[in-house]
Amino acid sequence: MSVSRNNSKSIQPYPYKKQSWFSSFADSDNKVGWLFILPFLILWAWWFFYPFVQSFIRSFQDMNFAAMDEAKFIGLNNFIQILQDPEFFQAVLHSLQIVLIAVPTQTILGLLMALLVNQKIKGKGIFRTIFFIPYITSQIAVTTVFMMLFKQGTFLTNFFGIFGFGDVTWFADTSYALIFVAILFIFQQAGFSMIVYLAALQEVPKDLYEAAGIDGASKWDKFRYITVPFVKPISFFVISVSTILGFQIYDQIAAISRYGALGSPAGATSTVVTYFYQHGIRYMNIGYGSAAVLLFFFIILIITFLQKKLLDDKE
Amino acid sequence: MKKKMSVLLITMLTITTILAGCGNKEKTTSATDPAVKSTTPVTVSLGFWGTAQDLGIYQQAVKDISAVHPNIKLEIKQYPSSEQFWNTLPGEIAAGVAPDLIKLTNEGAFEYIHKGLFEPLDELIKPAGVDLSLYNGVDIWKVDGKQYALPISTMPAMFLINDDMWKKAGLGAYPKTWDEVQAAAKKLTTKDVHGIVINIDAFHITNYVKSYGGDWGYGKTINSPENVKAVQKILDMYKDGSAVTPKSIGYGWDGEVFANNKAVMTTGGYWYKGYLKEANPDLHYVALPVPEGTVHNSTMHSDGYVVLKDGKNKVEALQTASFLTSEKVLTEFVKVGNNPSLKSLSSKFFEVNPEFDAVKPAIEYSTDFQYPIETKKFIDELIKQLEGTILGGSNKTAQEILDKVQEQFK
Amino acid sequence: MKARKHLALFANYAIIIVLGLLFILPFIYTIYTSLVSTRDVNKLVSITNWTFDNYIMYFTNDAYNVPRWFLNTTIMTGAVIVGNLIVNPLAAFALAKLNFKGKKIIYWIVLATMMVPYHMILIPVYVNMANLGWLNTFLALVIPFLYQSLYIFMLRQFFVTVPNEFMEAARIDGMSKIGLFWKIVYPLARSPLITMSILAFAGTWNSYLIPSTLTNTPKMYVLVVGLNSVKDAVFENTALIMAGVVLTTLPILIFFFLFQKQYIEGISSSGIKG
Repeated sequence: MSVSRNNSKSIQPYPYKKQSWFSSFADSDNKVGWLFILPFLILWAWWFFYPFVQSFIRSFQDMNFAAMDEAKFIGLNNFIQILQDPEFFQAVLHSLQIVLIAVPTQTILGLLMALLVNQKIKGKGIFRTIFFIPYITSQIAVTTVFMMLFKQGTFLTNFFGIFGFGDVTWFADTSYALIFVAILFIFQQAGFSMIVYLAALQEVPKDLYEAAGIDGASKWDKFRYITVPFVKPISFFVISVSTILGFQIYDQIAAISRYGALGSPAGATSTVVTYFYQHGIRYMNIGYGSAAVLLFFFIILIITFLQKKLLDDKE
Repeated sequence: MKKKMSVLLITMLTITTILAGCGNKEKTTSATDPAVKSTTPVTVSLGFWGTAQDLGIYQQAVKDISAVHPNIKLEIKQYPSSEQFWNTLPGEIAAGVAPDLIKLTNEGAFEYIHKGLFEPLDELIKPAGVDLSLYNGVDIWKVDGKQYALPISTMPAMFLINDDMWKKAGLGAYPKTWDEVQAAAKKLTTKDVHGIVINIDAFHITNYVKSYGGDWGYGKTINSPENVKAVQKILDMYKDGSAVTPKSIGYGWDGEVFANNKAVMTTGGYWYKGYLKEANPDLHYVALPVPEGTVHNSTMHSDGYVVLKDGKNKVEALQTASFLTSEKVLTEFVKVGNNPSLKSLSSKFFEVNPEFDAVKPAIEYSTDFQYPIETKKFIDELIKQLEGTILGGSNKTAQEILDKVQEQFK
Repeated sequence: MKARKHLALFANYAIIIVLGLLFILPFIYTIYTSLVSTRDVNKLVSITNWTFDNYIMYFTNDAYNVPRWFLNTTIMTGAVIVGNLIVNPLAAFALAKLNFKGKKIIYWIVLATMMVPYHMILIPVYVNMANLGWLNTFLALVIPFLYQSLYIFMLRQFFVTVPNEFMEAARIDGMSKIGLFWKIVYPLARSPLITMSILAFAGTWNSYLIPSTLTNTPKMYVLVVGLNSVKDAVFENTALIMAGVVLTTLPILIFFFLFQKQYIEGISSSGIKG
C-alpha cells in the first residue's frame, strides 16, 4: 500500500514501445506530478497565497479601516496584545471544547449512519437524503429552529431534565450555551461525514466480505478487520476536516447572538473565529484581527499535524 | 474515456468563454469617462440596506431625479444587510468603488465619523445649494462643530404598554416614573407573563440611563452615579422577577415577547407599529414617552445621508441627498413610519400615525446616544457585563458592572 | 436463530427511523414556519391558517427577480463543479500516487489552505477583483473557486486506497502515467467524485459570504444573497426567512436525491478482477 513502492525507477520502460518525447514525459513521476499539480497551484497562488501574504503583512501593522494606505508597521505588537488578552484564551478554550465534544461524536454518528444507509433496506435513498438535509440547510435556519426547540418548558428541555440538565433556555444560559453550539455542529457535520463514509464503503472490495463470510467471520469481525482498515485514510480526512470546521464555526454563534453581542450570552460562546470577527471586522482593527487569525492558524496546524501522526497511513 | 475527457474540456472552455464574455460586457457598460463629465450626467451611487418599500421609493427617485438635477444620474447599490455593508466597505474603499452616499442611523455613526470615513459637509453646503434651516435634527449630526449628515428623520424612543392586559389588571393611570413601572410590573407578573421585558441591548439601557439624568458622555461618564442608579433599577426589576430578557424565555427581541403577550410593558420605538401589525394585529397598545427616573429624557434616533470621504463627486452627492430629503420623497417615507426631518412636514407624521401622539413632547427633549468613540466595542462590553449578571448569575452590582466597562474606556 | 434475525432487523429499522425523524424534524419545522404568517411564528396552528404569502412575497415584487437569481446560482454552481472535477482529481492523484519533488510541501499547502478562514483574505481578494474589473461578474464568483483544497485532500485520501499492484498491472500493459489517471483512476473513483460533486454543489449553492461581497447589483445576486435582501420590514421576519431557506434548499435536495443512487457498491472489486 505504500506510495513509495510506486516509483518510476521500480518499473522499467516497456521494451516494445518506442520512446517518444511524450512517453518519456508521461512516464516521469516528477514531470507528470507537476503537470497535474499545476492548475491547482496557479489558482492557489493567485487567489489564495497572494491575498494571504497581503493579510499576513497586515498582522504586523496598525491599520485604520478608512485609510489603509496610512498603515504603520508596529512589529509584533498585535501579537503581544492578543497574548495578553484573557478573552483570547477564553475563546481558544471554547473552540477546543466544541471540537472535543463534537468531532468524536459526529465522526461515530456519521459512520453509523453511512453503515445504516449502505445496507440493502427499503427507502435507503430517502434516509440518505434525510440524514444529509441538515448539512445543506442554511445553518442560520437550523439554529433558529433549534432555538425554538431548546427553550424553557419545551419537550426537549424537559427530556434532558431526566439526565440532570436544568429546565432553562439553553442558548440563554452561560453554562449550556456552548454545549448547544456543539450539538448544532454535530447535527450539521454528521451528514457530511456520512456521505464521505458512504463513498468509502463503496470502495471496499465485496469479495473480501464474501471470503470472510465463508471463513465464518462474524459481522463484528468483518467490520473490525475489513471495513475499519479500509476507511482509515478517510477517517483521517473526516476527523481533521471536522476539527478545522469546528474551529471555524461561526454562523450558528452569530444566529444565537443575533440581537446581542457576538459570543452571547456573556461571552459563553466566544470562539477564536468570533474573536477575530469582533476585533478585525466589527471593531475595524484589521491588523489585530489578522494577527488573531494567524495565531489561530498555527493552533490548528499543530493539531492537524498531531492527528496525522496518530491517524494517517505511514508514508 | 478519451471522449469523456474531451467533453469535460469543451464544457470547461465554453463556460470560461461565456464567463469572460459576461465579464467584458459588464465592464464596458459600467465604464464612465471623466473626460465627458461636463456634457453627460455624473453618476452618484447611494449605498443602502432596508426594506422592499424603501427600495421602491429609491427606484422611483432614480427616475425622478433628472427632472430636478439633470446633472446627476442616481445609482442604487443595495446591500443585503448593514453587516454586509460594513464587511464590504474596507475593500470598496481600497479599490475605489465605495458608494458616494449612504443612509445611516445616528446610533452607530459616531465611531465612523471619528475614524474619518465621512466628509464634513460644511464646505459642500453652499456649492450644493442646500439650506440646513429647513431641517430638524441638524444638531444630532454635528460633531466638533462640523456637520456630517443631512437628516432624514428624527424619532424619540417610546414606552409601550399592552393596553388590554393593563386594563384587565385594573391598574388605572399609565405610569410616569420607573418606580410606578416597577410597582405595576410586580402586580402584572404571573406564572406566564412578566410585567416588563427589558432587552439587554444598548438602546434600551441608554434610555434608562438618560431618564435618570445620566449619559455615556462619549465614554467619559460610563460609571457616573446617575448611570449606576439607572442600571441598578434594571437589576432590581430582574431580581424581583417582574422583568425578563427576551432571550431567557427563548425570544429574539423585545417586540416578539410583547407581541406574544408574554410581557405587558417595554421600551421601544416607532418600528413596533409595523411589527405589531404583522405579528399581532389584535393587540391594543399605547405608546408613551419613556418614563422618568429623575428627569425627562430619552434617546433620539435619526437617520441621515452621509457623504463618504473616498467618493468622487461630493457636491453632486450632497445634491442627491437634498433631493432625497425633499418634500416629495420624504412624504413617501412618512408612509413607512419615519418622522420626517423637514420642518414643513413635521405635522404630517402625527396625522398619519395618531397612535404616537403622546410621544410628541419627547421630540423636544430627547438627545443623541453619546456612545464612546469605539461604539461597537462599548456596546459589546456593556451587554456582556449585563448578561454575565442577569443570565450568568455573576451577581455583580450596577456599580461593579459599570466600573468594569469604564475601565476599558479611559 | 430466526427470531434473533428478526429482532436484529427490527432494531436496525428502529435506529434508522428514530435517527431519521431526529434529522428531518428541524427541516419540517422550517417548512411549517415558512407556511404561516408572522403572527403564528412560534405557535402550532391548524392547516386552515397556512398561507403561501411568504413565497408570494418573493415573486410578486417587481424590484426582485428570483428566476434571474436562480439562473445566476445555477451558472455559478455548474461552472465551479466542472472546474472542481478537473483540477481537484489531478492534484489529488499526483499527491497520492506520483513521487514528485516537493510533494510533501504541496500536501501541507493543501491542508494549510483549509485552515485559514476565508474572511481573513476577503479584503485583498476584493481589491484584486476590483482591479481586474471582475466585480459583479461570474468570473469573480467562479475562477477563485475552481479548486478547493478540502476536496483535493478528500480525493487524495481515497486515491491512496487504490492498490498499487493494480496500477502496476496497467503499466505493464503499456499505459503511461497520464493514461493511468484518465483510464483507470478517474473511472474507479466514481463514488468519491460523486461525493465531491454533491458536497461542492451544496457548498457553492449555499455560499453567502463570497457572492454577497463580490456582487452588489440585484441583477448579479445569487439566490441566497437575493433572498436575504428581500425584507418587508425593519425587523427580521422569521417566516419569510424560512420560506427563502426552503426555496434555496429544495434544488440541492433534488440534486442529492438523484445522485445518491449513483453509489454502487464494490466497483473496485470488479475492476480488479477484470
